[in-house]
Amino acid sequence: MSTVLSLSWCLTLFCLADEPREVSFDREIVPILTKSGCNAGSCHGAAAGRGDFHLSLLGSNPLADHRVIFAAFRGRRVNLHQPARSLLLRKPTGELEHGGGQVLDLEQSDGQTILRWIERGAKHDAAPPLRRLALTPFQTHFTTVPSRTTIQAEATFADGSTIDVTKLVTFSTMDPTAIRLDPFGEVHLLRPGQHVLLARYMDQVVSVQLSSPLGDALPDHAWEKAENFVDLEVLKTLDSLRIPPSPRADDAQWLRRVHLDLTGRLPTSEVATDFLQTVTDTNRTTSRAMIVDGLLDSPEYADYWAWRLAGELRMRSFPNEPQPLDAYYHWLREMIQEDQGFDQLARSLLTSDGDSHAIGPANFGRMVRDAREHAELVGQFFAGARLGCANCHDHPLDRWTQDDYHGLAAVFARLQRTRHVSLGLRGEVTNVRTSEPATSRIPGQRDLTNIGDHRNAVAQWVLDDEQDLFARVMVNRFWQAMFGRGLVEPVDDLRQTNPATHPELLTKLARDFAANGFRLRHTLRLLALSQSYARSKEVLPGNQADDRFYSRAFPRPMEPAILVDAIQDVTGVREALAGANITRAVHLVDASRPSATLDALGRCQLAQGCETTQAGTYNLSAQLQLLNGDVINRKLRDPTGRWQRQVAEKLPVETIIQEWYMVALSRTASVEELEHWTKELATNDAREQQERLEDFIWSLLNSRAFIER
Amino acid sequence: MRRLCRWFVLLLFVYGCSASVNSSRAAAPNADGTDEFTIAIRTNTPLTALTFSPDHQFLLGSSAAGLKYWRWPSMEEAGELATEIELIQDLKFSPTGQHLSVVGGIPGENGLIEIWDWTSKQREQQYAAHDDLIMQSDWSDDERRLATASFDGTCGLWDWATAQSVANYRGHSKPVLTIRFWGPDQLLSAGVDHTIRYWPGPAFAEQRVFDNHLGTVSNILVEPAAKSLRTRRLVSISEDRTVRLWQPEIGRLIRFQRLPSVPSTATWAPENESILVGCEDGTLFRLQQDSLEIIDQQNPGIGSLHAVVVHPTTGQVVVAGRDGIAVNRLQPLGCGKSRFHNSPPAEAGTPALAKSPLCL
Repeated sequence: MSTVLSLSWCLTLFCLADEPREVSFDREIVPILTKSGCNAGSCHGAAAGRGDFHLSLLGSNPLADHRVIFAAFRGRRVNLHQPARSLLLRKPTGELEHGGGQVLDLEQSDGQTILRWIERGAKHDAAPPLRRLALTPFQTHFTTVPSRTTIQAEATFADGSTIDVTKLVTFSTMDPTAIRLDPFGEVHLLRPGQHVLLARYMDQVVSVQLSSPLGDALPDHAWEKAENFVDLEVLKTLDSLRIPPSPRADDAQWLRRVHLDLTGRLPTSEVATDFLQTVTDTNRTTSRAMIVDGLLDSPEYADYWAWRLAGELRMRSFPNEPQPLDAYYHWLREMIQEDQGFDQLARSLLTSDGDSHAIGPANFGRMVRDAREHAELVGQFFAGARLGCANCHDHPLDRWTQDDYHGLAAVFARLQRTRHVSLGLRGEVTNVRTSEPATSRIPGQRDLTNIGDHRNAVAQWVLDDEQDLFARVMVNRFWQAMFGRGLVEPVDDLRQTNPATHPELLTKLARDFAANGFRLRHTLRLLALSQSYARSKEVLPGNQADDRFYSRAFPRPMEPAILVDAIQDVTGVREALAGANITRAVHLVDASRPSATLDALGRCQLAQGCETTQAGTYNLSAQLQLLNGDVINRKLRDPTGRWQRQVAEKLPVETIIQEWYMVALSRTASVEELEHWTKELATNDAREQQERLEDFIWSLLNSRAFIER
Repeated sequence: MRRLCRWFVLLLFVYGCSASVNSSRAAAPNADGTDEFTIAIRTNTPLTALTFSPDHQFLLGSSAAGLKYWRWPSMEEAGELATEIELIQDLKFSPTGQHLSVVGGIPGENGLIEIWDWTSKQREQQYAAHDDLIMQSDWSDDERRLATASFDGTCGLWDWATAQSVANYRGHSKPVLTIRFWGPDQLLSAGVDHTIRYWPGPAFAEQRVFDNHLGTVSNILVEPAAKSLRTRRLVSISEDRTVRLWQPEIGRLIRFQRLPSVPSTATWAPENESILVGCEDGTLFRLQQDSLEIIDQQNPGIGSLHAVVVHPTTGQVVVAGRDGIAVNRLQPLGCGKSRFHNSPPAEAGTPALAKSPLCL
């Protein structure tokens, strides 16, 4: 009896072993196609496909892919009668000519899986959605390079099932010189620093951080007193990467930087002189705090930050209708001046209706042409999401789908973008994926009805998002304005696959921002008074390669408008700006208004978006403009200028040199500098001396010390 | 225990048998209650083409497994033709019914034509005509010529008896899926490039392009019983989910109908003045041939539809698709009341339908 039973079990096991396992199209075939590069943008995932074979980009639409593979052209690609003769296998295995070369091997597991899927009927199974893709380890810190590790991937589905998908995950890296993936599943770190490995499976992409010290020894920064959590987080990262922090900037450097970063203006010579004369080691903290508080209360602060945000909100004027821009700008400036919470600002921008000549935030929707642009601006400004990608296909590197994009656009489809902004009765957006009118939708969450006003729901989504998207994107922008580089770059592209250099710092800053009423002034004060912000630009052995961990201040040029204003302030000559009543470039918020000077210096154009971090230097045309153009030279020739007044007053050369150093660089000239310039300017010929003075000022204004913050 | 073992062995036997059976006739009624259609044949490999024999006594069907024919209406398997074409895409009898063209080929490799004598069941001709699958063929009225549309992006016109090319049209920028004779030496073709192109002889140069479609044009149909070429109409179906009615002689799009699903096959059913359109989602629509209004819709229950034919005398509709062949059982499509909630009201009482001899 027991023998029979055993035999029966053996037969059962034999049968089960012999029975080919079901292969899931969504869970296995599509990931294999992704891993093999078949559905990449450069191959069949392109908008028009390739070789009359169009797959959804990176497998974002498995149902459509199944149709194309199995049903299109009456079985051209899949031969159920002779599975191995299927075009789906013969092309990528190189049996037939294939533009992408051989990307599959029928003898290997991936090829065998596809073959088995065809043998089992090439069905499309309704696989439950992927809930979570977890990588182990998700973060690895190596002590030496080269090093290697293996990464396990586990997928959890909506039905609660969990499977190991390591072999089905597509790993990729943005920097192949730093990370190498070998065919055996091992990840090799080749270069020190912090690097990111992306892992894609089905519709999710997650990142793994791999890092290794840039230096040899743990940096000594006992001299640096951490002022707040900003410093603690920055130092923690510097320690882990063994990057030494540069010493603190001197008071003059700090003063000049904080003035430019908080108000967009250079300190006056009086303010600079007073501060430098009164600050001491004992009162430095309080003196700096007083300076910061004074700047944050100044009208120039409101001017500067309104100008910055106006660019990001794409403010522009309408032909023969100046009132909307006036109302919009003045509302924004007032919000900043009064330190209103940015949550209030967001609600107003997203929900305001009415006469756009009187109600500033009602113009938010007028600055864009249609509902799609409206959705893109909402995504970019409030959520740091580049939703535009999801117009044509699901975002390849983020969670946003086409339905999210068109659904959000549908919320704004009925908006009347006329003087009296209101939600009309008609208007729809066509969902490109379905070719049907899009259903209004809160991105990543839920569908709404196409009846009623859902703008409040969008505002609620923006502000209540569990991932603090709004707070994160805003503090990241503030950080970029103060430090020259966002914790996430680009600043409007926050996603899991573009991780922050300091993830915990970004989270803490966002929470702090939200906990303090979303107030700009609070966060700027926190950043301006941190030790991290106060570092000098000095390059130390060990931190010369650092371009993102804030071991030193990164050189960054003033924005064109700020530079033009600085040159005006320093030379005492006004720039001819568009509009007779505009005296400062920072007041010219309308990027559509012509200004040859600002254009030559490369001001942000509306079409470009204004969130790109400025490169470390001006481009060639801007530099030529500064060297040879009118921006500086015309002001030096102007008889009402500062140096002409100094000459007229017959001031001693040393005094003139010191005054120019103070107004332009916010410091006095050193002994060597003074000696050098005194010698250079010394001549008995008055005309010659004037020319030499002009050359001295030209040199000063073209120096990096002046142009950079 | 012995009984358990016996069951076990029996189960193994049943499993083995079911795995080896390629196709079988289904006796059970349709699961979705669509009792207008009954599934006559279930297959493991999707059907690609269907046609009735000239004497209407046989139904021929092709798939990757070969070419079979069944006795009509019993649907008993009557035989198969030993074609050497790996993947058959189209079956067409010549106007006299003497010859059967079988076209297809090996995807990505070649496009083959086989001509069979239906009476003797002997192959008369076989040759490679294209560099990729031939998707459709059409006979000239005099039976001397055969036109072919190929996935290699070209169309051919052949003197099939000698296997000589008469013309080769390269006007399409992408694969060509469908081709029809419009008149003697006048051809229309359409395909993946969204266009329908008219290229008449003797030069067989392009004379007119109809580019209203926004997606792949998968089939075109020539009105079978037109009084003159000038008034003759053309129907096209496309991936853009539209069915369009044209008057090609004057370059006019008469009207179009948007369907809720993507059409994949169609046939003109002149006897009851309608056009039958099969779709990828398995739905079969019947459209009024002049207005293109949807008269009826049903789901035969065999998955995506690849071919639809109407029996010339009984008017019964036969569809082939992913899972087999289904036959309109009770009455010709459209004569009865639709059983589908979403379908528009059947126009059974309209004069056109009332006159149709096919409505029982």
